Amino acid sequence: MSATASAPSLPGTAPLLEVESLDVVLGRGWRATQVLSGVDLAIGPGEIVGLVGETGSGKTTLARTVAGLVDPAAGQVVFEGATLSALRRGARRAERRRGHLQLVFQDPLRSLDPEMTVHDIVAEGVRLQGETDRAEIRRRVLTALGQVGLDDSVLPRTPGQISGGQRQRVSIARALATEPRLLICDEPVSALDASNRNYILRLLEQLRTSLRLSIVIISHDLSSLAGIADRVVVLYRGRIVEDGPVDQVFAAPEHPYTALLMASAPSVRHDRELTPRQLTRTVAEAGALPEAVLEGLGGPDACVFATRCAFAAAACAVQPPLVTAGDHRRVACHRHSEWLTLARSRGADGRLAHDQLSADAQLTTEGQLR
Amino acid sequence: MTIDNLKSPDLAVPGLPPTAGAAPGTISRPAPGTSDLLSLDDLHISVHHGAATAIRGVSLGIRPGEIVGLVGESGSGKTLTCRAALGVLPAGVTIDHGSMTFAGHDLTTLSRRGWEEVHGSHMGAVFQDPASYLNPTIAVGHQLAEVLRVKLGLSRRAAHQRSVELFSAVGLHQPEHVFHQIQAELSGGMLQRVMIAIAISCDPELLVADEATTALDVTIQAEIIDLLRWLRDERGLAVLFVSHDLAVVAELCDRVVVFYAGEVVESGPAAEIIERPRHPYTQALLEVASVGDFRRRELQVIAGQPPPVGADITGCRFAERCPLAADVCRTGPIAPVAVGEEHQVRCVRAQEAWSSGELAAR
Repeated sequence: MSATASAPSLPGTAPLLEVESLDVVLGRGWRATQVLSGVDLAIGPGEIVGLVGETGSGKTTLARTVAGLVDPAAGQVVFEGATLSALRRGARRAERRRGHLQLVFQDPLRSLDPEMTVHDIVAEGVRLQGETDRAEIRRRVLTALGQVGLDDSVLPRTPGQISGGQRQRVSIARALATEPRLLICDEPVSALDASNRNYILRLLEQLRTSLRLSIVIISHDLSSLAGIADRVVVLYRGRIVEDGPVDQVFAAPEHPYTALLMASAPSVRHDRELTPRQLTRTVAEAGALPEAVLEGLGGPDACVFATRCAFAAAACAVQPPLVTAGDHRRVACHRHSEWLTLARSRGADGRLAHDQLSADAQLTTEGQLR
Repeated sequence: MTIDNLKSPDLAVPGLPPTAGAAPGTISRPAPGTSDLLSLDDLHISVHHGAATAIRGVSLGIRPGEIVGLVGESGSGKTLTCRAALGVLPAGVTIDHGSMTFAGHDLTTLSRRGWEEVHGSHMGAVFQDPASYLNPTIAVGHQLAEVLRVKLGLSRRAAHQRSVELFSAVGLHQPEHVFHQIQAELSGGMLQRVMIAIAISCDPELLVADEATTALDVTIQAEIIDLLRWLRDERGLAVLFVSHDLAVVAELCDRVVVFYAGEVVESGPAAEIIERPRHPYTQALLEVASVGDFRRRELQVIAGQPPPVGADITGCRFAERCPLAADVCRTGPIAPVAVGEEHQVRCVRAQEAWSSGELAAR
């Protein structure tokens, strides 16, 4: 598709990681499910990218595919100029041992071996790289622990003997010990309380600067990225629906799903411009749509968000391409220039203001005619 | 068996027929809006067979139709307090001191049969992980219908019909279809709605929701919060809502109770606590609870760690981490003081804390 925007990255630098038209299918035969469709993404050196989406949107599968743990059905993953998906088994194992790309998982209590000491956990990657000198291993373990603000007192302990926040720091130290270029953190803070969450996010920010690391933070919580990410990528049912600089996306989301995520986030200050109900279609509203339109929206080719979107019209029966929308921004929505006005005209309780009802109905019909 | 006072018409789900037959009721329903429905007073709970005191003198009340939020870090004692109120404390955990009353009845001396009557008919509960409370091999509708047949003595047919109505009332579309589905076929949000349907099926006055929205996606969490609000408005259901997330509590609750290391450090109307937090810990919690704020900001951290469960500390338990701590904070026990209508704070320097907060806000 020529209209499709290529993945933006910071100007003047070659991206560290490039994901191109990635399709991933999990399962075989009748169980096969397409988890990712046409994902294009570039991560620049020293960039922090937030990857947001709900359960089942494919965030973790994307991370696993990038790490070479899942084979894509189509498309490719290029890391430091080498096409990972084309590597044969031995070469891929060698690439993994190099440790330039590391994963950090959500629940360190479950992802760390409960019987290994902190020293052995952090040293494992270094040993896999081929380092055999015990003094050198210990030096690198201590360096990595120092980078996350831990000292040698935790070395002989097991994951069960340290606190939750310390455990997450140990998982980050484990990843840092191999001197990676790219860190993919899968929900690194969702198991932590607010104070520890901020501590870990601040730590990642510092590491980006001091080690010139690129970091991908996978999260289901959009607002926890506000203080740290440069760019945010929103996934919905396996597709990128929005991508852009974090300040711009949060100031004015282009996709109704991004707006829904923001409207749904609980707020201490009750300062939301839009409510979730202004952005989602009620059952009654779905019933009011012409049957042919409704059928199209539920079809396999429809926009991934069409089943919930309050603004879905006949055109949305076809998946919109991810197009450029302003500087460094991409959005996949047929109605990205219209929905905000429509949302504002919907009452906060989800019902349309009386005089707006016919106007929106007209729009829907027009869309259908086109 | 008095059934007439159990089902006041204003507590029924709109569109639901009155229940035919009801649980044996010895606990009468209080009139809405009067005194506390559930009241805990000076509760002390020890864990590890008395080795450590995890809850120290917790007092709180919840009125009919009120939504009260318990907030605090993990290990602060909010879940233990809830479980005590529900009469489901784990082995080795005992109530050493204090009283718990529900609609004027003493809960601490309640027999096993007494609790059986209270559960479902007067108190319902939902927890963080609905999947672990349902049988994975039995259709969810049958699990709800079973509750109705056992607790209310409904016939198979009446239980089926009422289950479908309850599923519809909690916002499950195609309730008849959902009735026959098993756990694995439903999403997390749908399962939590099923759990809420089961919890309110026998028309309790109180719902205890312990981290009930924590594991859900943010859009689904917003829907469940909406549902709880609707249940309160339509049925006069009181909700004891436990969460570590202050933003969720601020969004939903009328009153907030802040826990720290086994004590209530501040309690009061939600709006007032958000606007004018008096305890330095509440202030710190608000500063780190960035959730819901999309502006770029400095990420704040509360220095230090909470004391271990059961730690013996003279004076304020937050003093170690408190920026305002002085000698007076460490000399003796700190009693809660009233700083406003229904607003209490356990801090001897509440006045200073308030002024410094004011200063920072300017």
